[in-house]
Amino acid sequence: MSVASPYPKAVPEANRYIGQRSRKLKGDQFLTGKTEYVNDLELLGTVHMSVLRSPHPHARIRNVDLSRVRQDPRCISALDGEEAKQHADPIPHFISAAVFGGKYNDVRVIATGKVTYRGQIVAAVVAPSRGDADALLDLIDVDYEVLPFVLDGDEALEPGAPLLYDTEGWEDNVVIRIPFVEGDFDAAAAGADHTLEDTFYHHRYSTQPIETRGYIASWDPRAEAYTLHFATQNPHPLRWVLSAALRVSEAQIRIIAPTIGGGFGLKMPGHPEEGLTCVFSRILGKPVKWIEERDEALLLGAREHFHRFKVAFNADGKIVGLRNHFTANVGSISACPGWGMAFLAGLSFPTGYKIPATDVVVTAVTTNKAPWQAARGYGKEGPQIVMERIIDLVAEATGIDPAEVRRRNFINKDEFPYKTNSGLNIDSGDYHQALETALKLLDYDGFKAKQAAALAEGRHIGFGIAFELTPESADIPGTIVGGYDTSTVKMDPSGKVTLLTGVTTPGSGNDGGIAQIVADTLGVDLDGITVIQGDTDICPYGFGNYSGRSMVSGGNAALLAARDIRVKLSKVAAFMLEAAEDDLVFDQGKISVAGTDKAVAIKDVANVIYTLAFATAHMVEPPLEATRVYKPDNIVHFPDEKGRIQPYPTYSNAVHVAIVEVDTETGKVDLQRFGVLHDCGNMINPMFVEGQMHGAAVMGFGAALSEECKYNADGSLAADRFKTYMMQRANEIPMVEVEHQVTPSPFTLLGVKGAGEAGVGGAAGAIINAVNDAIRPTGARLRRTPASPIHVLAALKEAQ
Amino acid sequence: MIKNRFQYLAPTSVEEAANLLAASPGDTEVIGGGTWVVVEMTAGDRDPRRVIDLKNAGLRYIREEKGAVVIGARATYTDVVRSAAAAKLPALVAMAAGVTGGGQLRNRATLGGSACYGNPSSDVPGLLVGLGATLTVRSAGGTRSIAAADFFTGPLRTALQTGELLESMTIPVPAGMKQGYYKFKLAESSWPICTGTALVGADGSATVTIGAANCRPVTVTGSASDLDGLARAAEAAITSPFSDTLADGEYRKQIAGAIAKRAVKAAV
Ligand SMILES: Cc1cc2nc3c(=O)[nH]c(=O)nc-3n(C[C@H](O)[C@H](O)[C@H](O)COP(=O)(O)OP(=O)(O)OC[C@H]3O[C@@H](n4cnc5c(N)ncnc54)[C@H](O)[C@@H]3O)c2cc1C
Repeated sequence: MSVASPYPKAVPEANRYIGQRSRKLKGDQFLTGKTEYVNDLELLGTVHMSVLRSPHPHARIRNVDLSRVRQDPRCISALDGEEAKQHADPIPHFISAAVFGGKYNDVRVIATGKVTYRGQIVAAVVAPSRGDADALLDLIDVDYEVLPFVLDGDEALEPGAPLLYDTEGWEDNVVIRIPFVEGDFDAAAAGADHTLEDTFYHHRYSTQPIETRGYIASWDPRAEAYTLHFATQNPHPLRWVLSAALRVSEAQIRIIAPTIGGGFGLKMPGHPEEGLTCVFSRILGKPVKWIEERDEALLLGAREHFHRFKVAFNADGKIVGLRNHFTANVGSISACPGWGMAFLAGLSFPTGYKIPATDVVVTAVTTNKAPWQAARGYGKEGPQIVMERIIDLVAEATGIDPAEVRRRNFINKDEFPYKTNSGLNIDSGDYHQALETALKLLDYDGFKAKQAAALAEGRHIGFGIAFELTPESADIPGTIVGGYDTSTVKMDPSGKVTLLTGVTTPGSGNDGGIAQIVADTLGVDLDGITVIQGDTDICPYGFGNYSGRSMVSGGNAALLAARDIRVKLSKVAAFMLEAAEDDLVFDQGKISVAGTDKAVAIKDVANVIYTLAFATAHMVEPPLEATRVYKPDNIVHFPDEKGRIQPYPTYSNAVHVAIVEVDTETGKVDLQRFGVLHDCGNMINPMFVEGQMHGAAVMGFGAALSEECKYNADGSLAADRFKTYMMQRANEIPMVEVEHQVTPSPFTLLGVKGAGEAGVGGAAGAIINAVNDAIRPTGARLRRTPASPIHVLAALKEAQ
Repeated sequence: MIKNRFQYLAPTSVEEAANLLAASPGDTEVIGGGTWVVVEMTAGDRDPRRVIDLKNAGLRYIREEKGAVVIGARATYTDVVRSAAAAKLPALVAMAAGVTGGGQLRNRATLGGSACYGNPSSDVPGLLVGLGATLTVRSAGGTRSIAAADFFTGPLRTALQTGELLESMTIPVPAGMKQGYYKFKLAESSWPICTGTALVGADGSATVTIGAANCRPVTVTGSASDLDGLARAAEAAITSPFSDTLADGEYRKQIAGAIAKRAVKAAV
């Protein structure tokens, strides 16, 4: 597979940044606490917003009485839903289910008419301090007519279940039902040696960046424009959302995203508080600040699936058919992109396995839980866990080794690009080799003996394998989720480079990675490059951060832009050095003529281009600025003959392996070792890729073991802080042992694939399989996540 | 965010603290380390007009007195870990060292605060009962003593009366007995789900107090050589299992026997 190189005349290998573990840009500032987050910003005259949230999961709002709060001297402004309606239209849905034939419901900055979850905003106040604003909430009187509610996805589908929305088209609680059907499952099942049926419950959990959401909206009455300092992953798309909701043009909104302390999807647009701070700022002509509390951040959930599957397979372990009709309890409707995870969960089956007949149907159902928000993995993690369970069940049923069942069903390396049943076109890979390397990482071959020895002492240890396919860098047609992006490279008259790009960093270091590409293309020092991201007035249009896209789109766009600059430098340098362009080498701030000692400093060439535009540099167009877009190959939005689209350019893959010990007296799982073989194509900076994998894997540990958005029976959130929503801590996790395999993408310029999303589902899947392997001698089987002591012990007791 | 303004008081003696408390006990919170109170004030669950901080009241001590270790109400978990006097009580030290939340929490949070909060799902109540502690409480009228077994009356309930504050905890050093402490948590950041404090005599007689599983700590006796018997007794003793968000009482009861055994093994 040939990969376009960024080096027309290569920078000598020893001096290249690409592939190096270059340090994170501004890493010293992070480490020394000098980084400024949105909550550190103090704009003159800032006032503070607090929102009143519904105490009922389902109720009609009869009346909101703001008279007491308005009489309080601390109250600067207050609004209820009906009043807010005069200032703002419904928030456009970031990914509307209606685009795919599903249902739609208006979502406003403050609820009107009805609330459909506990925690929905019913009124808001502004005061001189956040403490005052919080205190004022006690003075708001809301009269509710309490309605029956439903929290469970299956119950919400039953006839007679409380209906969440009484607007047109909502004759039931189904948001959308999407079939992914290919081949004849029933015929496959009839012809197969065996079938098995089982269920799997994938619970509700979320992502919790340590920095919660935070917004400072500031309306300038003279300029008639907003400046928004918002902790957001997607400044430009958010500008579109807000312009529609706030009845202003996009040009009247400037969004400046400061450094954000983690995103993971939570900071994608559509949240009511985004527009609400703007509404107040416009009314008051002052900056309005709102910082999310942890219990507010924990309201937003993701992934609650109930899978009911049937698998048809032969005695040799080959799977010939899969039926999986599953529900996704997406909670209430919001304008955020969360519900779309249900769509992609269906689309991603059957991951990297060749199964001729698939009948996968996902039903997204709305309930009186709080909405979903996008969460790292974006729906792909569910299929990863469930498919890997299925493979292990087939192994158990046939008596074939689970690794061997994988080998027999994997797509072969010579079959790429491979079109899956749901229409995905998987770019490249070598899954068999990936599996072998991962198994060696934790000595799979030696494990059986250790397991038997442990069992003889009454100890239950288990080995789990999970293959993970991660479609990345999505472009979802008809939505503001773009798969291309834009970068600008500028070299100033003193030869310094500024890089502006439409992708943003949530802390992952993509700014540094993109700078590495530019430094190599121009032969300049990495330290001399300034990267600017996240400002809609100065950065080129782009979609920000999601779906492992920053190198694929922004990185390749920067490569193109840097090449344009290089072409100009090369022409002028050739003239200055009296040499042929083909003989020039760009390296370490110099352009030299290969094989001679003739050289000129790049900064001098830059200076000539700016100052001698009509003489020495007459043959190029100044200034040294270039803006380029990169649209990766392989995305196909024209439906094929079966109506399928192909929204992803790249498909990274990984094989995760875990060793656990289960304490059968308490059900507690001790994750003892964890390894992963990761293949995301060419890596610009392996350290950043590993950093992402470490973080994602630990999120997967949390998903598999302890993180859970628990609800009380009354519809309130039970896990509303970190003592009850239990993230994994450093001292309970093993080292994440990462190895790489590099199968470049044939569809992107640099051969890169997405990185950053992968890891959550694979890690969780490996752990769930390891737990099942460990408890198998007891006859127990765990059919759900998380493998918390309570659920594991329940499974063990059930088997007794 | 703490919503409402309040008066902050830091009396310089325990008598003064008791008098201040007596003046208006209904709208006053006493704080040791404040790791519960401040969290609950931030969440809006408590809204006091006055806060009495005991940090200057002379209650931060741990000393040996007549075969017992006396712990001032303001002593922190870290103080216990570092104290020479407390070293006589390895179960106490193991408990204090195992409190989660890291150095930040252990340097600030007090055993006294945990005792007064009376959350069943915590370390201190079961340990104090298990080691046969006595609590000295003070009011404007003087002091009185309460056995730990009588102090913890139910979830978030103690024998402290209105206007009383905790002054100290006295734990006898169990002569000739081995001590063990074992805590079970769901995950690193979890509250204790079930704890065991064991005292094992030279003759093998064993007393185990199970904390966190029942609404009040429960104590069973048996023999270290019949762990299964002890385990069955422990499970049977859980007659009003405690439930919270993390774990329901049924689960706690199911594991109580295993935890009792592990506490005894920790002692032997
Ligand atoms: C991150 C974190 C981790 C934790 N981990 C654990 C753990 O592993 N195990 C565990 O058991 N607990 C744990 N806790 C809880 C901790 O034990 C208690 O928070 C702490 O011991 C309480 O002590 P404090 O002095 O901070 O209490 P405070 O908040 O000061 O007080 C708690 C209660 O006691 C009252 N009070 C305090 N002192 C007195 C007094 N002298 N007289 C009368 N009333 C008084 C207060 O009014 C209040 O009602 C954790 C807490 C946090 C925040």
